[in-house]
Amino acid sequence: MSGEGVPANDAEFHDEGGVLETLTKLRHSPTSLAGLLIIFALVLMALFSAVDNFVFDRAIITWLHADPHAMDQSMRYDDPSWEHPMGTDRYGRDMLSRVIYGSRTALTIGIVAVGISFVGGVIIGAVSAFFGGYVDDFLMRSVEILYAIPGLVLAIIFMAIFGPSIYNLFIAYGIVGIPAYARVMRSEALSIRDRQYVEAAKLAGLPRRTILFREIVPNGIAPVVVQATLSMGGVIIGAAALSFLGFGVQPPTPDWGRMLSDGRTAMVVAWWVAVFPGIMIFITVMGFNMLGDGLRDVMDPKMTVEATPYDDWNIDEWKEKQRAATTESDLAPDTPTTRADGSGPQEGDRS
Amino acid sequence: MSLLEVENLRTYFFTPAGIVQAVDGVSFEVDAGESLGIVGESGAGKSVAVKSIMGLIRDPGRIVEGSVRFDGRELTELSEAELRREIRGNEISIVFQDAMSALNPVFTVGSQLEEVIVENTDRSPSAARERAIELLDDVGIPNPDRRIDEYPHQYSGGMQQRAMIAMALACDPRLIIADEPTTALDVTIQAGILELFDEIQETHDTSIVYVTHDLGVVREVCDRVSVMYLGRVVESAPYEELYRYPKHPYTQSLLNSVVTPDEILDEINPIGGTMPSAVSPPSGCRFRTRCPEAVEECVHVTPRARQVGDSHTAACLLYDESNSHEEPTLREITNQTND
Amino acid sequence: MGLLRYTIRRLLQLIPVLFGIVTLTFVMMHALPGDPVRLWLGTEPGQELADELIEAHGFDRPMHEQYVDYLVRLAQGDLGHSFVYNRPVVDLMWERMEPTLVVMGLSYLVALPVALGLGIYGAARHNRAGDHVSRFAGLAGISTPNFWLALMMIYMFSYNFGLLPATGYTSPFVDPVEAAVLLIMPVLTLATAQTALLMRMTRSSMIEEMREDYVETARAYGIPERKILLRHSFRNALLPLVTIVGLQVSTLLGGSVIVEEIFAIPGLGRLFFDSVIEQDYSVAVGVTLFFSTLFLIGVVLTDIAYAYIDPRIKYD
Repeated sequence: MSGEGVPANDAEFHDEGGVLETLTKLRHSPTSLAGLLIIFALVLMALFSAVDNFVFDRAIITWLHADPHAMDQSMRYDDPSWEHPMGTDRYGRDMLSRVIYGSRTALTIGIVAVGISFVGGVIIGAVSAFFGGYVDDFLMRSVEILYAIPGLVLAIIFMAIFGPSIYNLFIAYGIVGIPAYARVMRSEALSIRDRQYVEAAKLAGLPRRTILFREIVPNGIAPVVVQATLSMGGVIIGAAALSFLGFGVQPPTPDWGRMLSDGRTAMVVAWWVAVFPGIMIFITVMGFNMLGDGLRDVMDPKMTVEATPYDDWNIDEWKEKQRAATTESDLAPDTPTTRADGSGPQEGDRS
Repeated sequence: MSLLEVENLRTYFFTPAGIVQAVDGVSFEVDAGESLGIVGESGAGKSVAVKSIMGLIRDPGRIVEGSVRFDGRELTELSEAELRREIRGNEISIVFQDAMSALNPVFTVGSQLEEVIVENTDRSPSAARERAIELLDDVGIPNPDRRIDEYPHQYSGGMQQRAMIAMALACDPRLIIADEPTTALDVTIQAGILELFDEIQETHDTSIVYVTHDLGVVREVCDRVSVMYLGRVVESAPYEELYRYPKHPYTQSLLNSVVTPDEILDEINPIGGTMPSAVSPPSGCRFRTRCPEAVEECVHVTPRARQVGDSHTAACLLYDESNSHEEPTLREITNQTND
Repeated sequence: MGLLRYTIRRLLQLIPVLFGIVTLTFVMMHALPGDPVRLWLGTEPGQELADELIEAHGFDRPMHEQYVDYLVRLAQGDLGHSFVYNRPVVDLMWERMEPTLVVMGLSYLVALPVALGLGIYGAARHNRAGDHVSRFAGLAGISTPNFWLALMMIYMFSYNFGLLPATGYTSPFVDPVEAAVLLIMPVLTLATAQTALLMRMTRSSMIEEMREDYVETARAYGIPERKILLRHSFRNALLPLVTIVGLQVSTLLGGSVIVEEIFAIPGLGRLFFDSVIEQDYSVAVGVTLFFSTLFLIGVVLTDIAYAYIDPRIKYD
């Protein structure tokens, strides 16, 4: 490429990010499809809970099954039955309704916290890689400081400082996650920084901010998305752990971690209080991990070409088909005789 | 009887995108002490062909047809264990293109040489070390007794390739396959490596199969040349013969595109177009889509190798006096019945 | 020689990070709500006593002076004073260190061999039944919340079958048998997710290594497949694994808070948890500082192991 006056025709230089393409590739991975299905079901559950809670004041779930907040001391620690498939807790509240409502808290925390980590990490990582030097040193050392403190310990201290609430939980786990994203984004951005289309944009005199957020970030975002899917599970577990320890979501908001904490004290008399919320956490996290696993495989070029079992191919049958097919198509106008247009070598005879 | 006889070899790769017919009916022979060059563009299936000889094709690839006879033994019928014990390393060895990645980065050059020696001979570890030093000396590595304990990354590119060649020589094989051994090297270093191959052939009387895309390289080391295009051998001849009287249009255009000092730049004719995909190669003659001489018939007839000179064969309809339809396609059969 | 210089260089690079952590813990200490002095003195504070304490601990001095003071005391190995226990934080932590390190060490001892074995097995049978099973088990392992796993184990083995005691700790250096019985569940709780993660890493990095050119070379030279797997590929696959093993120090220390709380193990994690609840912040911050330092030591050890395994680092 010549040095002067390269037109800033970005589109020509872009690698295909290919988010859609990636998603269509996912259909070959049964694991990630199952994961996607789980997540979809959970999102529906959470949306239902949210709408029901804020718009209808829990009317729908009460009508369908039972009010997750309604206490009934006569029903204290009732066994799982047709009326209460997951039993009741120590205030006689229906566990099934509470477990359904718990999906809202779990998913919200996961999505908001991961969103905070994502945005923070992408900005820090991209800025760090793009500017390099002291900026890079300062940002990366800061990130390492955060990284050195165990996530749960950092989150507990944060909650102790700002008080236990669901909003602080978002922020706590959002901050805890930033280092991982920043590192992924930085290493991606470093490899993109010297590519031709970035060079071209620089030579064209685009402002640095434009280059950073229109050229570098979009092209390096894919691995960060994988990181997000894979860390979603960890965040949901972490937030549940915090609630379990009493620092997170406060009663009476239904939350799986909080329910487990109640279940712990009641385990001898009421195993169901400790079993079902845990299973829900497991399923949720499993869903995200399955999806993330598939996504990573699809995006990793080394991992994509999977062998197709030979048994799937009947070579002779296939050969026949090939012959029939190629002969057919080659009789189209594009026959070789008409293609001798001088673009190839002239005069074959050299002897 | 030749030392190595490859006949109608087909090696396919079964990928989700379809079957890659990397090698599709390749035949060649190598006599004892002879060196054969296999020439072609990248993607012609040269590497796959020679790796097939040693049974080095891995999933999703497989040899689907053909035979490889080495010293009268059918190699395609040997089990993995037999190949490992009796053929690989001690009878046939291979030098890869990129020595840097072909050597294990976390072991010393010496320990990798010694492992090969111990695995393929009944030498003791200490004897293997002596032999390894001797080998490094043979391939022209200075201070071999010191450099044997160094890691591959401490060697220069040329040195790494020499170490690789030392490994190939370790058990006195009868055939060495060199898979583009100089492609990754500077021209000056390349010359040294080519000299080394010449020397090996003379002193050890080893047969060499030399895979390359560079006809100039072939001139240095090879007695005979087979030209490959898209999974098939299109022409085969002694080097001088091929260079003076290329018969196949592909060979002709290949020779045309070689830059020689006495040629003026605009006389060079690169081959037009790109090689079609080996997943759905053209029917009939595979070169026809880029061939200046192609005729309608090339679509239907798969040309067979024809004698066109003294031990010179070419697979092109131009030299097919009989014009007989060797492998009629389905389409053709139906056409004929319709007419 | 190269290795020693490399180690020293890595240690020096940690100084700014360590300094940052110290600063951060100082900020934490002052940001945490509640007045330790009042807490300690109870509901009826004697004003003189309170003033005396405040002056003794320098709480009335300007922030920057307190900060310098904090640094000086840290340099002398003084982490402050616990108002709940009325003892130096260092002494407290020293007492509580053993259980945490024992549980964490055992967790590594369980996780490493299982993870490496299963991971290599999965890679060797890539895309076959055994691989799919181990891959799914790995996913399940990292998806299981450790505190829930602990509860379920207690329910099963303590309440239902009465096989294992639900809580408690005995030092394995005092009574190995009793310690073993008590430690099974805590160690499994910590080790499950750790094993699963390591196993997945082992598998994927082995699969990647098995595709490298040097593997083809080894095959072409008649090296048996088992040797290629266990010697050639494994040595290379260890590199990313070592990194993960180092990073897991942090995860395990975080996990120790939960495990020690559930199983009533008197370790640092529980000390941290209790001190946050009791607003005994010098202890909480001291443990945080210690955990971070332990993590940084883990990172340096990782780097040294890395340089030891990969000759390219040492000599460059």
